Amino acid sequence: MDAQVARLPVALTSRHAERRWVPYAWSGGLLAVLGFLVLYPTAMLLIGALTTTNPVVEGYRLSDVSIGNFITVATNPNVAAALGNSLIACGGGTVLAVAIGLSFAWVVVRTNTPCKGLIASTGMLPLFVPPLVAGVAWSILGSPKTGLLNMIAAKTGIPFHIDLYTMPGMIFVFGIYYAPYVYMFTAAALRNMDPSLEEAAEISGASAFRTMATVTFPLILPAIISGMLLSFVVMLGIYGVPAVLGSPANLSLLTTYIFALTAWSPPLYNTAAAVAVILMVVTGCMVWAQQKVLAGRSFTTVAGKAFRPRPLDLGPWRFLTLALAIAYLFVVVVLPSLALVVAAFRRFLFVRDIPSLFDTKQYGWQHFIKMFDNPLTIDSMVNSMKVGVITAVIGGVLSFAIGYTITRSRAPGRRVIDIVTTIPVAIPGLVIGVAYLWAWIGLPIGIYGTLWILALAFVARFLPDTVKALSSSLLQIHKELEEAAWICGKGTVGTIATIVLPLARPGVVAAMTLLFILAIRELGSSLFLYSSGTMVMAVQLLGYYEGGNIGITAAFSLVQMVLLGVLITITNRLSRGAGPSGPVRTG
Amino acid sequence: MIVFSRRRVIASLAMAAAGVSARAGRAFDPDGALLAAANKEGRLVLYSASLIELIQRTIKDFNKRFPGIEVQVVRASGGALIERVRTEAAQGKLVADVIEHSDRGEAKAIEALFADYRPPNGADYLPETMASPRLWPASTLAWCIAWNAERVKTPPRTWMDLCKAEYAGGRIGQVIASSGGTTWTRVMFERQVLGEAYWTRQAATAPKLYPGGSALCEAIIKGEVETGPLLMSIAFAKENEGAPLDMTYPPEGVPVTPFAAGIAANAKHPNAARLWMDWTLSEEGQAGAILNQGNLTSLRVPPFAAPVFDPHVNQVWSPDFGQFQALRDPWIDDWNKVYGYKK
Repeated sequence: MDAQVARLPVALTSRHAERRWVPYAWSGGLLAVLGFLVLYPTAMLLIGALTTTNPVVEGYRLSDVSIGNFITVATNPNVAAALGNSLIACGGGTVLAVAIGLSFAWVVVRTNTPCKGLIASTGMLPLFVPPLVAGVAWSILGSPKTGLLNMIAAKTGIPFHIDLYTMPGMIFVFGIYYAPYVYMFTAAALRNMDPSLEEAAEISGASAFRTMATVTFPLILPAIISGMLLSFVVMLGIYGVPAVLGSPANLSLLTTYIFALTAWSPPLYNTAAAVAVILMVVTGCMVWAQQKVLAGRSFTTVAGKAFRPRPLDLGPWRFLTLALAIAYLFVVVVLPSLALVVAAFRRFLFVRDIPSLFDTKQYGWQHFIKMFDNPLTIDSMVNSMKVGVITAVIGGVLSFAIGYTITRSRAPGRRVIDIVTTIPVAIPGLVIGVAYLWAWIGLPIGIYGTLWILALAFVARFLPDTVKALSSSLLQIHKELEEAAWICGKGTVGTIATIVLPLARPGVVAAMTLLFILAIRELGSSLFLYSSGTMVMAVQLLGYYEGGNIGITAAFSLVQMVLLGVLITITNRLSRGAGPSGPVRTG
Repeated sequence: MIVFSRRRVIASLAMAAAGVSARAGRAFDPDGALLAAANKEGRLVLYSASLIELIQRTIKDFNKRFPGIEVQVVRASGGALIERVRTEAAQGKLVADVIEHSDRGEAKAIEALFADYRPPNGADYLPETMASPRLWPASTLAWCIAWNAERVKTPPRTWMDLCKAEYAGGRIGQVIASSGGTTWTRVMFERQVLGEAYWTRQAATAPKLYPGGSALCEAIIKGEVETGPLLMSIAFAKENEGAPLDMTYPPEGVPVTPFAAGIAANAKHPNAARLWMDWTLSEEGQAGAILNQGNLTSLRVPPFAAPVFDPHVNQVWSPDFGQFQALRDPWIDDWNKVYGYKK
């Protein structure tokens, strides 16, 4: 990849030789923004990990610096156990997510499986569900003692028993819930792929499945690896699923351990910061491994030749893929959604027996009424939508600027920009939240207590996700398209506006959508940055959950799912307009 | 032994309500100038570590009396709340007008951030429930034993019952000792009052551990576990809504946790904050907390007996504040070892 990048036209330099300062100013500007959004809070976090004080309250002196927190953490066998559990749960979950997400993307984008549009839309639903609610939904279904699936199986004599309060249980839930992440990356890449390569394989006598394994998947390897890496690190930072499914079995992961550190009385933020640094190291290793794997390889599949993606004809096998997709949707979408509906409408989750489950007297709108009776509910919804839009717009623009600089320019310092951009992915939200607070509360621009501080935190926190998503799309656009524009007299900005941006539109829309969803769901950094007038949905949801209001939690989640579903439908339509259906990629 | 069942609660509440109305002279009567100034400010910001649902109920009651004052809430867990308060205050950006915390020790540590304040009925409060002259026990939470009424036919009635083999094997749920001031109070009570061996005997039943009281309450309602020690205010709300829960105050003692509430030193709405504090600490406010939230009170003479709390049988137990602070870390470490909780 490096070699390829080196051959790219000098977009920001050679065409403006008389203005050599421009690339430097551009990179400097980006690094200044990243310094504010990423480096400064990260530095505060490191200071926190190296001291035993709150750096804002007590300040920090060189004499305070010690590695005491790290020694405490390193010598605590429970931390090692939590780290081991995290690697197993997230590693297993990632393997499952890639297997499911990739297969799903291939079925939807590259085959003639019936009803694939509907399958694609439905398959994204898990993405809208906060991890905490996902954990709750699956605990309702798969608790060894009171799980509905076990109860139904026992009453009907089916020899089936599931216990999700186990490591395999967590892997299962991680895998199915983060498969849509892999799907988003790989589906965008598959849509942008030149089908002539697959057609060549078919003409050479390769079967559809062999073509998939030997041509299609290797070509979208950056997207697969990006999706895999993102899934892994997102899982590493997730608190809700292990909190609900791991805690009853005393299975501690790093996130639940960190949460416990911050929730204990008195809280141990500095120790939590030291544990977070361990997570940063683990994630750093993953990013390094990704770059080593992709180094020196070319993945350009969008070239200056017109094509119209043609789905592979699976023949009668298309009904098998349809059946598999339906089975997947049933397990991933229908079952947990039913559990949420039961929880949202049932007065209490105590289910005496099967007839009681269907007793209509036990159901009603009481949780919704109570939820909307609380003025904070509506406030939080309005605030979340505002923050989501601000985050998506600012984050989308910034991510595109960074993604373009990293993947398509020879701007000075782009490697540094790449590395700095990746840092937030490694820091769990539960800890980075307090680092943002430490870093930004003293700013004279008066953003503390407003929605802007939340939006900035979300932009910073999810920058790696959106940049990686965009980079995958940008990497696929062949240099000859930009060269053609330059030959025709277009400048850098004009080329980006008329060539790169339109071609990368599916990826841009997907990245902004992802950013919006992540912003709506983000809890960790919201907890410390929301204020009395800026309550957001994630915090309100946690409040309901911590108050033991599983019914209202489920009702609120359903409302959130509907809101996000409407948005995704709209953006899906936008994305499709620039996607596989139109005659695109003319050079 | 009095069991907290729905019928009994309804009967008790009716009696208690009658008691309140008979003492109409104790209704809160704010100073006119304070009320006018508070209304002019029109709002206050409350930082609280209490459960959001309980806070909302209190706000609702307050707004019935004082509809012109909007109460905005920032709710956070105990540790997060203190961190936020300290950080905001260090930058001169403390948003809170009133701060309420479940852990008197944690609140005492930031005592300097509170204004001097004494409610009109300050002399009526038990001095041992106060961590500082600036911090007042606006809420007093009490521990009970709760159980799933559908699942448990012979419920535990005493703290010692929770050590019996018949409840072993994961039928009991326990909140971890380090979860906050209220739980620390209970485990301190267990060791000091029920005996040094209590934890070992109780842990031998292999209880399931939960990070907080609400999670445990939900687990009892669902039937994941069947019984356990629970704050009455948490169980009370669910029981009132019809959950299959019963509760009792055990005869060996009822550990109580007086919260610490005070007015921020640089409150932007000092009059509204003062009105809030005066009202919550008044007999009227305390009566509401007892009736609507299942709390007890730290007043020397309660406005009336709390529902199903029999003062002849149930004795409240409040920790010595010095020991509450000094014993916390070593004893919680001991508790973690006994219960196998990985810290």
